[in-house]
Amino acid sequence: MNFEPIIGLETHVELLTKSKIFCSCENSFGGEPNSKCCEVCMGHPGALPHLNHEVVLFGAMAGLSFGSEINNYSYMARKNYIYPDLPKAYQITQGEVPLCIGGSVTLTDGRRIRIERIHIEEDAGKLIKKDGEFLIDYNRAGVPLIEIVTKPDFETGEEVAEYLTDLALTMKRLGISDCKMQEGSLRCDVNISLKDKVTGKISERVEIKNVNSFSFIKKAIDYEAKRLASMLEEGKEIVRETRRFNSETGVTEAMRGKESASDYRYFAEPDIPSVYISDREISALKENLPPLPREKKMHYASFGVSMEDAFIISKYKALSLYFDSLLSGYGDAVHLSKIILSSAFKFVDEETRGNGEILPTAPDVLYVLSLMAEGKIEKRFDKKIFDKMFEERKPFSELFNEEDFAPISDDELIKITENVIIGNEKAISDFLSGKEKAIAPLIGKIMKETKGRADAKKAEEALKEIICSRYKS
Amino acid sequence: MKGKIEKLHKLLKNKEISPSLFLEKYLERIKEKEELNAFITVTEKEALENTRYAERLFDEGKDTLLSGIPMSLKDNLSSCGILTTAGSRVLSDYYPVNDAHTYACLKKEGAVLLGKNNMDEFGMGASSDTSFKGAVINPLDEKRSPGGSSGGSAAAVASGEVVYSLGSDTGGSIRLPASYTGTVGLCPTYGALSRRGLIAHSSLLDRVGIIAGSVSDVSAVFDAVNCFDEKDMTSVKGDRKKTYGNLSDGVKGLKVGIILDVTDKAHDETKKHIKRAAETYRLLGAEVSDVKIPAWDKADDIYSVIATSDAASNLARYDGVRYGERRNSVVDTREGFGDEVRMRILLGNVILTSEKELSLRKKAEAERCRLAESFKEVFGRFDILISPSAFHTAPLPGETDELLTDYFLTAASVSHLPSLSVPMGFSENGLPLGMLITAKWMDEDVILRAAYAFEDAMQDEIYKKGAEKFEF
Repeated sequence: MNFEPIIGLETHVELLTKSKIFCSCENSFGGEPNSKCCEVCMGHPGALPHLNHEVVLFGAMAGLSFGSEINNYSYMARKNYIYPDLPKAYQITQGEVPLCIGGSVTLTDGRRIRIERIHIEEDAGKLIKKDGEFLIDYNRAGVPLIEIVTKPDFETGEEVAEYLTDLALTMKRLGISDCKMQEGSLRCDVNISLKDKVTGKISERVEIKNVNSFSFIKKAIDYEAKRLASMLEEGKEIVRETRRFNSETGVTEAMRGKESASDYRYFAEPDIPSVYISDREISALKENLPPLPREKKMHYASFGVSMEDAFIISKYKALSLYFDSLLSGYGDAVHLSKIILSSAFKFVDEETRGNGEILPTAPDVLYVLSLMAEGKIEKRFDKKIFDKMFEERKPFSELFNEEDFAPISDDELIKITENVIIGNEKAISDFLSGKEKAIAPLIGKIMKETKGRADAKKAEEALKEIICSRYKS
Repeated sequence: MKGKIEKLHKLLKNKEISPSLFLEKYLERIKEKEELNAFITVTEKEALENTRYAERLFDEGKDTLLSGIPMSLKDNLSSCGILTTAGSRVLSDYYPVNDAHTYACLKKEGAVLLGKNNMDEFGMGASSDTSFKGAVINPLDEKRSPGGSSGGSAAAVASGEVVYSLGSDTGGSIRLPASYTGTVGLCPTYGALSRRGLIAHSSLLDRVGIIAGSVSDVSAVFDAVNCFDEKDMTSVKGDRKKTYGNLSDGVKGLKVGIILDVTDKAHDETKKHIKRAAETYRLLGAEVSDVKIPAWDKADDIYSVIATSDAASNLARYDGVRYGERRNSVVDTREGFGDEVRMRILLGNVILTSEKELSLRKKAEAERCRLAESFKEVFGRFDILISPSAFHTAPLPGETDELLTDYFLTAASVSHLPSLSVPMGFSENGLPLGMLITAKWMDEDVILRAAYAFEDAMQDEIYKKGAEKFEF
């Protein structure tokens, strides 16, 4: 392809504030239709909006997680359009001066995606078609949203998917959204245009609206990039339009010509003079910002943990904190990640990984590791030991005796081997005549004698050595 | 000069008359004056409840000046469970779920709501003749309009149907009717009175205000409704100055500016009266001098751009889904509006769609701030400014010159400044002329004190011929 896609994203995230953005109605998903609304979110004549400051704080937190500048003063604007689910016939959003400006995210491949702005706004109600009639549920009207707008810095659907996955994790980690695509608390519009690799010319852009899963977004982008490229190759002109992705057919379909800003007749919202957040509030938010999944991931990767493993561990808050404690007491991060991903993952459920108490405690695990390091117990038992510990949620001492895993000294091994040989001369002569497998039962016997403590390989070596020194000559 | 409210309060307090008998008399009066068409709804049930509450306040000794006093609301001020139409067919079945904040303040003091006043549709008009309920008649001359858009409120006060009324003023809608009916109309600082429950026409300019028969009545009501409302984000924070106690402090040393260039645009008779008013202030001990405010001329255009574009946005919700008639298209639902409103919506949308680098709306907002700044400079030298409230008296049909109607009143509107219209005398045609007093931001106490002094000095002349007298 002689064209490379240039992709920008507008992501809407519903915030988990206690009440809606401009009134004191409960902000939660679902519920009996029209049971969570009042004169303000229904746009009754004479009702006035009153900005919920928690929305400003949540929006600023989102901004800080991207390293954005937070404006002390920002302004609300009216976006005018008529639609049945929009009770006031205008959406109160932010225009020229949004809450957050700038910032960026660095993807795994090292590419930096710049954030243009993050603004706060209100959601609309929901239009439901039922038995050929349209019904309106205003429960969602006035639910607070942030819109995160990136610069057109993406080149592939894969990058977009990674960015969105990280964004959802980040918002969840901040505790400001649950980012459930199926409930609409994370919604994404994709802007895509093509750049001619030779001339550098950039085509008109097409918007794909409301794609509702991460995998669909990648498919939609790949499809659209191909469609646009073939259009350009055929000499056709790309027109600015809004399209939707049909997840059943896997193609994008034209919805409507794209509105320009003036179609929305934006102007400063007269009912809300300004939005203010103090420096003190901003620094408090900054101080309390939790470690972000993407930072954790890179941190773990820097210790040699594979990117995939680092991602999985960083995804869960409790688990990642747990991993941090392990890291602080044990140098081999790769070994730790193996313990976590094999033993811990098998027995710690999803919810506990996120927010629960993981048992055994990190010191319990570190204790076992120290026993291994000191040679008091054999390293090769770690899977058996840790599986049991995570399954039973108990420390080593409550489950095992150290002696059960203590290494066997060479002298002891030789002694046991010699004992096993006695009375098994047939197997030895078979072995000596070339039947390698003939001594396998003897090894089994050694294992039995040592109650499994012996290393099978070492036992085999010891056996062979004794046979050779005694019988071969 | 004591106002009607204080006199009536004394009667009630001394039990010379009971609040219920009082109510009966006023309801009779409203019936008598039905032909004025000042009311869209008469609220007997609410009035009765309010009266009972007022009686309790008197019994418990918790009464205030406003307890038991009959009043009305312009029909764009919400009253819980009571039809509130804003003079529009599209809201002809709208029953608000809350009281307007200002009405709630009055209710708490035992005010008695007699009804909802007729008005220009959504406050758009200067003659009170664009309502779906028909035109309001000026009680002083049945051939003339009472001005608008709070014409119903002004007519109800001037005819003695109520003691006072809350109206709204976007570009002169309280002050013009006050001037045309010989009443006193206050348009307070933007943000002094809560707009919560006021059906929006222009959110950036709308204000709730007061029309009453005298300055002291206006002052008494103002003190009751002038407070911070945390649920209106444009409400001015902090404590408020009380006005009633200092009304008679006089104007000695007060710096009064007569806005010459503005006054010059008015009718000769009006000019004459303004000069006489200036002389009166001088005699009362004020320091009077001339001032010119060239920026005043821009106010009309600023007003038109802001008010129509706000209106286009505020009225778009009446799309037939929940308000107005269900039609096949949004365009068809616009037919529910009258011609004036439709014209303004259209104009507002054209303004908002202008695609220039700096939109008309933004330009107007910038000019608005500039005008407010130039007033600040003027108020460095003056305490109050005086100018005509209108070109002349209430016009006969056909005489209306809309442009000049707006001219005298929009400067204070777009600058968010408080201003008040007070009768300053009578024309040879027997009708009252109004004087506009403007002061700096949140200086209603100065306006009211200055208006009170003037009214007191002129009372013989003004009130002998004034508004119709009603015993109560």
